[in-house]
Amino acid sequence: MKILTRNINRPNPAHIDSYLVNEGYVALPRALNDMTPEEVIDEVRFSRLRGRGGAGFPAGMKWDFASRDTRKPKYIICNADEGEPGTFKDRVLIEKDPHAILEGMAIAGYAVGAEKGFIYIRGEYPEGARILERAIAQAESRSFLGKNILNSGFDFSVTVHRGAGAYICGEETALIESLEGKRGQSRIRPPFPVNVGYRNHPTVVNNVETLASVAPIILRGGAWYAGIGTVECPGTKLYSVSGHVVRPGVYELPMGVTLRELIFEHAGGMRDNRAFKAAFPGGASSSCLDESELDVRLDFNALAAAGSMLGSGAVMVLDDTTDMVKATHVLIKFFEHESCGKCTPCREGLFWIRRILDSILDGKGTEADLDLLLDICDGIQSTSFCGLGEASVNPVVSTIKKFRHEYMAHIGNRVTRRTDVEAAS
Amino acid sequence: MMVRLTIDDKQIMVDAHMNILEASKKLGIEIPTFCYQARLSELGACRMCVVEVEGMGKLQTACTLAVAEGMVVQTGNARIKKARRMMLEFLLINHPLECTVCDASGECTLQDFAFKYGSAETRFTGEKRVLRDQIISPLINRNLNRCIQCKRCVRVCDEIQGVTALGMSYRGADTIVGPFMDKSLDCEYCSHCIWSCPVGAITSRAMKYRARTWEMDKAEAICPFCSCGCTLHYNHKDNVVHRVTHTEGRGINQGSLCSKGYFGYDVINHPERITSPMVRNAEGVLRTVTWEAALTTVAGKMGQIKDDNGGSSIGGIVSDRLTNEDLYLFQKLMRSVYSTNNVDTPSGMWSRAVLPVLEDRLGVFAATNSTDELNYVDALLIVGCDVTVSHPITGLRVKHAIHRGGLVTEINPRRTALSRLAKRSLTVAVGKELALVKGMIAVIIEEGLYDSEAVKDYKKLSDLEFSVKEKDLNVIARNTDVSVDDIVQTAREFAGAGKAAIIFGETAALHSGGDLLINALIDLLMLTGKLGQEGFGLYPVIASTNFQGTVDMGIAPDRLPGHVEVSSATERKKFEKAWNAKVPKDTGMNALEMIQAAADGNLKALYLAGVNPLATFPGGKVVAEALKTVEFLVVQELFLTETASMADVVLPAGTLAEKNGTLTSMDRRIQRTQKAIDSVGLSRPDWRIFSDLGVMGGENGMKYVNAAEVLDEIAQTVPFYSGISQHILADNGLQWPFSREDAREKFHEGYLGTRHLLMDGVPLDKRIFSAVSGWDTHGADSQYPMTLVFEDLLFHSGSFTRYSESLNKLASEATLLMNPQTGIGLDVPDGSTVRTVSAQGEVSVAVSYSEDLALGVLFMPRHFANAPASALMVPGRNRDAETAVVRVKVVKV
Repeated sequence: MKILTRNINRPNPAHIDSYLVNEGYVALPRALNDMTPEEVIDEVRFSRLRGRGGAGFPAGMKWDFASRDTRKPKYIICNADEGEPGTFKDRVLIEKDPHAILEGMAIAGYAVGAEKGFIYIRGEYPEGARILERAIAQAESRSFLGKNILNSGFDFSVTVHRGAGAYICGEETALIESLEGKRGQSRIRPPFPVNVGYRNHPTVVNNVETLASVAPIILRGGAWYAGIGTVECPGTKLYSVSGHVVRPGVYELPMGVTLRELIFEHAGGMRDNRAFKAAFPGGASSSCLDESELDVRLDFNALAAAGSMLGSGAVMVLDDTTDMVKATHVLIKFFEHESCGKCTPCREGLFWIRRILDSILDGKGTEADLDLLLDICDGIQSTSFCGLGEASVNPVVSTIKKFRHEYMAHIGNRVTRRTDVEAAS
Repeated sequence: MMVRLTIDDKQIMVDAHMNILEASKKLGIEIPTFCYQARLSELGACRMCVVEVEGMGKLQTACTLAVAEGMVVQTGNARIKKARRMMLEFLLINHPLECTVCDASGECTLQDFAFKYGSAETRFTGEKRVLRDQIISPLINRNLNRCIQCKRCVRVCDEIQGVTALGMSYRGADTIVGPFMDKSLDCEYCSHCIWSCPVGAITSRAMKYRARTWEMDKAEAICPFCSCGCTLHYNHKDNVVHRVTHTEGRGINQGSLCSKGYFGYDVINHPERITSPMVRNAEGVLRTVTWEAALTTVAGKMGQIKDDNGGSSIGGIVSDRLTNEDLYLFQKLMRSVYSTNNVDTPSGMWSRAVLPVLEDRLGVFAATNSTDELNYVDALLIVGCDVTVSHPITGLRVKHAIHRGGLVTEINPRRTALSRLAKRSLTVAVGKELALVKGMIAVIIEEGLYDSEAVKDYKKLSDLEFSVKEKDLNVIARNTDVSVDDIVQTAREFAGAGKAAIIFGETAALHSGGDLLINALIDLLMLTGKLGQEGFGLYPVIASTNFQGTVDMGIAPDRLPGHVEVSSATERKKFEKAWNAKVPKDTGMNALEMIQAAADGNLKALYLAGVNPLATFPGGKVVAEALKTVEFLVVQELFLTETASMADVVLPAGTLAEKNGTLTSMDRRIQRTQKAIDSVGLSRPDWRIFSDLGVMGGENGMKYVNAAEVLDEIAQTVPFYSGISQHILADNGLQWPFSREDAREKFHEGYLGTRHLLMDGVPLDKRIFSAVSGWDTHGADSQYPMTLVFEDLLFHSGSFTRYSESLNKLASEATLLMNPQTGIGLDVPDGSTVRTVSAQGEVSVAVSYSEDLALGVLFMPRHFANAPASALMVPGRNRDAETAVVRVKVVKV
């Protein structure tokens, strides 16, 4: 089923003409001409589309909140700061189907009463930023963006803003701070951006994939979309599959596909016919699944029930050659580096965890270190300011739980040296 | 709206805007926090204040969570205790445990909380992160390793001080606090960052390794450096003041201080303080003598001169930094013992320029409103001063108003620290302000924006209308170099504001036509009805610490204590009765006249208490001549200044830290200041010296045991100080006027006196517009085409602060500021030395270009030895003297 990826294999897919071939910019005039903003929001609500950035918040509800706030101006922000390790699905949409994002943003703008949109794209996507800017120019030249869109009286313009390389700016409030020219750090919530967002005005922040899903929903109706995937998590999902599989890549599949199906039916199975050991189903900050959990469905609810999370759908697959302690060490180094430093537990706790993992890999660990690690993880998880800190310890907790013996091997084995660790990572 | 909630099983009703932390405080429950400070925005970063709220799974930060009806909160259960323990463990991972040498030790929040809520053992075994640090400023020390990233310093610098000199750089555990690009600190040295730091990451270099916090005793005093009247605490040990602290919520400064207040204390125990009396011997050399000998000499010589030449041949000039008790006794000594009304103070120039206008037009003798009302003004005009420099804490009020959306317009010959924040900054040459104000009045009348209810019984409205219509707005705009739109908008904003006030300073008032400008400003206030209510009014501002005290205590040749006229026989009789002595009836000489008279040989004895005319009085030559010629010169001083070294008798006096007394702030607030240390060396408090001389002069009525007795007498003789005592002033200051009964009965209820004057409106007989004629109060002079404005510096407020080593590190030399265009026109490059010549004299000084200045206007600080302002200031009897604004020419060297 191709909804999000319907255009990506066309020649010159990012060009507006390619987009127009396949019902491009049909949903926007329909919304503008035939629907009230409330009807647009209702349609999205009927679709039960859930945000694809990781939290899975119902998109229609978010739009509804923003539309009810009477303060003007309002803003639509497309979160294209795709920074979660293992995630590269938004990049495909940005580079291959930018107009789907723009059309979604314009519809969102009409629905909530916003006239200005921003695309906050990660700094490491320079090509994506150029493609989006070209696409904006094309859309403006055909009156799909800009003043008085298609003579409807509705104005909507989009500006691309490039991030400066901070993972935290993928978190919506830190993104807004950064967009305002401030240090990228999360804000206190509540109030939420739908009421107090960019420049303290009502702001909808949606993920790229969420916005790209909007035009098809308007075209075919919310009921059609709700019929795809599972009841609680309808629609298709872009899974970024990486790691020890034969064919890593982005796969569009209905929500609820199992991990086994994704790896073995779509991604070509395990590399070199090695055995599956573990997978992080929702990026670096999700809890890992082991072999016994291959049949877990990859959707928001099923993964939450399994103690992990879907996140952005970044499935990192590891085979039996992987040292889970080293793998965890790599992930924690990432989070330690990306902690913004605002709150105590995340800033100091991740530094401490990394030090302990250093020492375990150095052959200097003790079994008591594992209890200490879990205690620190609990401290971080229960008191962190934002989701970064809260989720960052998932790999540690889950690998200690499921692969404790590997930690014990390092603790008992004093051969491993620090230099090996650095060479491996 | 009030809500009811339960905290630790106790119920409480609080305002719905309150957070859990504040609500708990009301119940006496302490919730530990590092990053929260009531005056700052919420951050929620340290995570120390987590609490458990029923129905919320995650722990919540008490500082960011608003109370809600029916909320049930736990602040100290096992889960919370564990989280707090964990937070402290996290913070201590990288915090160096160098409490043994840390200046914050003893008052460090981390230390206290670790003791109270932390774990006795540490589980962290690795190496601590060590950050490289470097010196960022001469007075403020930063230690990055001690920093716990609470961002209080960053927020206070931005949100209170409006400077944003500090920010955060880098990320995660590498995050550091520092100046932009980690260069040196470019700031106002307000000390807010030091004050706000909960640990020892930002400390004062001036106090480093001097004393442990717990060894010092604290005495509450009033800051000696300007007339804001800030409360501070001298921290002292072994009779040495080692630092100054301030307390959140205490005093009119509410826990803020400025660079002078915080760092200027080192004048107190300065090694060059005069420690014993000196008398010039037969060889003409100043020799140390006993107090007995020195006082006998003064009393004898004064008595002789009085007998030989009459009291009018004796004059006294007293500093406006002294306490009310000092001032009162000084004039009592001069009047009742030496039989002279030759009594004045350096800020008498200001008082004579401003007060007659205020008295004549409004019937008041001071600023009409309280400075803290400025916090909430909707529109404010600041004319001819930089209030952030002359009165930094009052400046904070203005910044606060701006923060709240108040529309502030500056009319000044230079841009200031406020310009960046204010709604608009109109850079106008000296003398052109009047045209601008008249332009505003014209707009207000033309557009019918005046308060028709307020002006209905005013006289001369048509005259006012006529006077402002003489010139077209376009002509005014062209002449003042301000756009018509700016004039119109400023007028509309001012007239339309709910609360609006005017501040004006020396540049506006202290030049030949300054009175016209003040009159026009009063017309503007009357026309728009902005008098007699909270948030309205007129604020004349001058830095001199107790200038209001000098006015109230009769430090003037024509006024007795309580603003009453010397020429009034009834008033004289009142004082004669109280003092049991004669009060001379003839108006005396003012300070400038005394100097001239001394130079002419007509004044035989001059008593200078805390004043240094050689540095600060106009006419360097005539002052030197006067001090040389005068038969008997007594100088009562802290230091052997230029002037003191010419004296016949030098009497060592004490600083504010060494005496009890009261000071009156610029907004009429009488406040108590307390002695912190014993007098340095053999020095004595000023009032004590005056008292002793009075007794030796034969007046037993001059005998006082302590300053409290003097205050009691003031309370008897000055009607609007009636009822006060040191006891009554212990908790709060009192703003005059107040009734004796209110002062006595309500002081313990937090009674503050009269917040603003003119509560019943402008007196009926004064409801007249002045409709001033003229458009330029300064005019042109072809011989001296430039206008030199003497400015206060943020780091110096007079010749007194020159003795502060700390403040000298921030600024210690005068340069001549000029607009680059002015400089290019004169062919004097930036940095070059020029001769600045006035009708009086000249100084050579280096030029410093600044885009902030209006064309043709120059700025120079007034009190540095390398460019003595007195050489340029033009003496005169009154308004013809040029002391704040001087016409000069600049000559290329």
